[in-house]
Amino acid sequence: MQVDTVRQEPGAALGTAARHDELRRPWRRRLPLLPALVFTVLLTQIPFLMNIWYSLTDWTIVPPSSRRYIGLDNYGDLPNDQFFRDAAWVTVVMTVSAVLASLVLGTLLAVLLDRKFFGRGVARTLLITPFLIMPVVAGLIWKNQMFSGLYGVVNWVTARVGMDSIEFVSRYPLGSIVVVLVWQWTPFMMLIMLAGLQSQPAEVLEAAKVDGASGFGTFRQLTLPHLRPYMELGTLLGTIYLIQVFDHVAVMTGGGPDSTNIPYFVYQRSIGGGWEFGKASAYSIVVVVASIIVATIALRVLSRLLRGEEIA
Amino acid sequence: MASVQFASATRLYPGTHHPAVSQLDLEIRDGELMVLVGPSGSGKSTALRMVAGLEPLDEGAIFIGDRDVSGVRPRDRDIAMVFQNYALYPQLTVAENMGFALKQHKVPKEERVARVREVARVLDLEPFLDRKPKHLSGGQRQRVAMGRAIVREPQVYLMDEPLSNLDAKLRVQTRAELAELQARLAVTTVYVTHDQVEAMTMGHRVAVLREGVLQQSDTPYALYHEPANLFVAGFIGSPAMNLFPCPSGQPIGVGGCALDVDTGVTSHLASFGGDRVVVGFRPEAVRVGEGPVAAHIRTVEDLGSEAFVHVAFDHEGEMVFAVSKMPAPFKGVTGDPIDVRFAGTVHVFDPAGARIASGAARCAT
Amino acid sequence: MARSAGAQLGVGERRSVNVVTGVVAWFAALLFFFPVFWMILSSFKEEQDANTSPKLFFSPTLDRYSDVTETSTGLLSFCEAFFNSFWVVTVSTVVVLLLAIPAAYALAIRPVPKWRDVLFFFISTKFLPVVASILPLWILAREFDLLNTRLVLMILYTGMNLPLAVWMLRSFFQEIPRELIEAAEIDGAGLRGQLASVILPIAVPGIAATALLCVIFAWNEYFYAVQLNPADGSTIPIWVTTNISTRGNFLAKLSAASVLASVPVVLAGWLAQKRMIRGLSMGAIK
Repeated sequence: MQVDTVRQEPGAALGTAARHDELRRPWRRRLPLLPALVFTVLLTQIPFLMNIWYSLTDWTIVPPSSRRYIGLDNYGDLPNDQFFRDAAWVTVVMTVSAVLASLVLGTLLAVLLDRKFFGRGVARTLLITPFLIMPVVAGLIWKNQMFSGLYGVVNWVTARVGMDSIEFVSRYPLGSIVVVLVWQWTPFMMLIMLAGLQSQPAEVLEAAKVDGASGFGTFRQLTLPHLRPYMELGTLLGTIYLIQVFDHVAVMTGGGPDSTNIPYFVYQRSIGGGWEFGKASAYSIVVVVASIIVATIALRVLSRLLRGEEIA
Repeated sequence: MASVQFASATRLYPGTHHPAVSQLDLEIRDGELMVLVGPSGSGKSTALRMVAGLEPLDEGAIFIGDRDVSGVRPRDRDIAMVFQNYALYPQLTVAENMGFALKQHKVPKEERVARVREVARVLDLEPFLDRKPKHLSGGQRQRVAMGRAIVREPQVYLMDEPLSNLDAKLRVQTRAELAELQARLAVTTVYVTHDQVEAMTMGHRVAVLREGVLQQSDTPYALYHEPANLFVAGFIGSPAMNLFPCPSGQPIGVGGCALDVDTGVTSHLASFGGDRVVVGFRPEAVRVGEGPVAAHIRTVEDLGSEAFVHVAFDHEGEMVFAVSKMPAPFKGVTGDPIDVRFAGTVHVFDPAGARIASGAARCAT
Repeated sequence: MARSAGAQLGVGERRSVNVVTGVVAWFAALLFFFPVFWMILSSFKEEQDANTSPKLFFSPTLDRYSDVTETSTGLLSFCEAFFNSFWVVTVSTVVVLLLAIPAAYALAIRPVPKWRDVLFFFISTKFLPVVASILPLWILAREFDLLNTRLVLMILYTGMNLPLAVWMLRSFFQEIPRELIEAAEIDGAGLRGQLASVILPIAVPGIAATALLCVIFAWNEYFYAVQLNPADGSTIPIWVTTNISTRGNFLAKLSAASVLASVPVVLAGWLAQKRMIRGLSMGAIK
């Protein structure tokens, strides 16, 4: 029986030779990326560069100044600026506690919601609602209706237990804000962790059952390691958004020594009444640089996420 | 070591009408390798998972030894399972995977390490003990899954199509190793596969399932030579048995040739009431070359050691196909006219499926 | 093989475990929902009922809703604000998807070299505090005569959500089996063809999840809106805050306004939550 070897035309299977040639050119690959990239570069880098320029001047509106170039003087003043240091500290505390608390709570809730029970869908619907509420609305509700010394529900509850009425927002400004942040961001973490739980192969859990692991043992030894990339994603996204918190601070405490974080501080110094644009810009640049440093350190974590390690 | 028994075990998935496993009565003896085989949807995996405790029973009971384990948690049943996709713990090393169950049962570390090491040696896994599953090949992962089960020294092994993800050559090799291992360890094993070759070569006994119902459980020899019904006859043996419907009046004939059958068959046929039967010949009972049936060759599969000749001939006014097993090399190509005769064991079934009789037969020339 | 939602009761497991789980979960759900419930309740109260110690029972009224939605000249009306928000959010989300889908293609399916750096760049644009960029943006907006327009918000919200969308869509696209793309290519499909016939149909849950997140963030955005659009282009978040007054009680009115402001996004979130979870588990992590 004769066997014919089939001669293959290079690239024939992929259509015309011309198309194949085009695909080789690297800029063709980049083309789909360009609209988004160009848009983002224009929209973010131009203001960024402008900020750098302003930070090198002594521009103020009140009193009006001539916007002279003063080099790095604004940056030199920074380390001595107690208010900036306070704001930085508040930012760190606010962000870390909100991210951690919402991550832990979100994981717990995800574990609960992963089991079947009566009305689970409705429960989950109720649980995600805080994330959908406008931050300004959330701040206002909590300040006026939950935490209020006079009308607040929380005080109504604690009064039943015999405690005195506390005006939470004035007594614990940072804490109050963090509570609202955790209230709003726990559902977000919960959704991510639920996705993580549901992506765990059922077979592995069954093998653990057969091998003798208890429910808690399985969770600790198998599920938690599996959830790690999800926790990392939640932490990354949560941190990015929570560092920028502004609405809650503006609406609940309006600043004040214990609850001003960097975004609000910059606002205060610039268009919020300080009108010291030069200095404010310098603060922002410092924050950007610090964030990039932190993110580069965390890049190892990012790379692992991006490299897409396959879970066997 | 223990026996496993299904007693009218039934599993009906909520929302379905047809049970996945229906009134299964099956006993697996201590130390035996019982293969559950059947096409997809036959319920074989479900039955296995019921023994594991991963599927609940809706009716009936399951015994391991003398113990009714129907309501017992998987981890309290003293069983080990090899999953189809291996289900290795992704974040643990090979050694940790294999030692996982021992750790859950609080086996002291030294003993654990020693047992894992020993099993790793037997399975040639020692170089991989510190690797994670994602860095292993398919064959290596399969062995880790086996090792994880073996190290536990359970009463029963459960295996859910453990070889189906291996390439063909590795599968044949591992099949033999598995059978040898099981014989050496002499632990009761329930083994599920859809591959009837695996079933026939590995099982001490084989249980054929179809749509949740047990068709026949017997030794491979009995399944092959004494199939209980049409389904088993057609499922076991490759290529499948050739089946021809024909009238039940004697003498029965295929393709125009009357068959000389032995007296056992004749008497059973005589007492059979219906007027149609199905006649079956395995490929080795169909000979081509000379014979009373005129046919032509459809195709020849020459495997080197033997040849399967696919032929077509006229039977009761219609063109039917048959496969003949002939010694290789075979001279003949597609389209050639050829003569066919039947000589060997004949199986006669009633059209509803039950076997009426089997015996020696040949064409009466 | 991912599992379906929710662990079933296993053999030999006590039913009480599920009951306890259910009780705790419901307790948490009610606790989390309570502030929203209270807000809804307050919106039906008279001001004097809202501004005293918490009352569960009162005679409900719809007056607050009519109070906040009545149009008075010079003041931003609910309809106007809703209209503005609707347009701004819809357009910006559509534009985000139009930009992000090809970009994700270029990062996932036919990756450009240095795609990791590109991705990091996108995320890094979120490191500049929004409050800092407001000044240059305000100046630029004034230059281009965009202050007090919907357009400036559309542009800004697109930029705000684009990094997140690119990130999420990229990982969803990564989940698509290579063979399907290759089959489409062999059949002669270019970028548009592949997108239409293979990528988009499979990635719909992921795209829906991304779009929903973009809608949530854009609808609720307050800072850019209030700084750049104090008057005509105002959006819902601004409208809500106009209901706070320094004279007289306003809690009930504020609650009514908040309820109205939240309804669209809350409904969207409720309807799409299953898709969100499926989308997230499909490949927000890879």
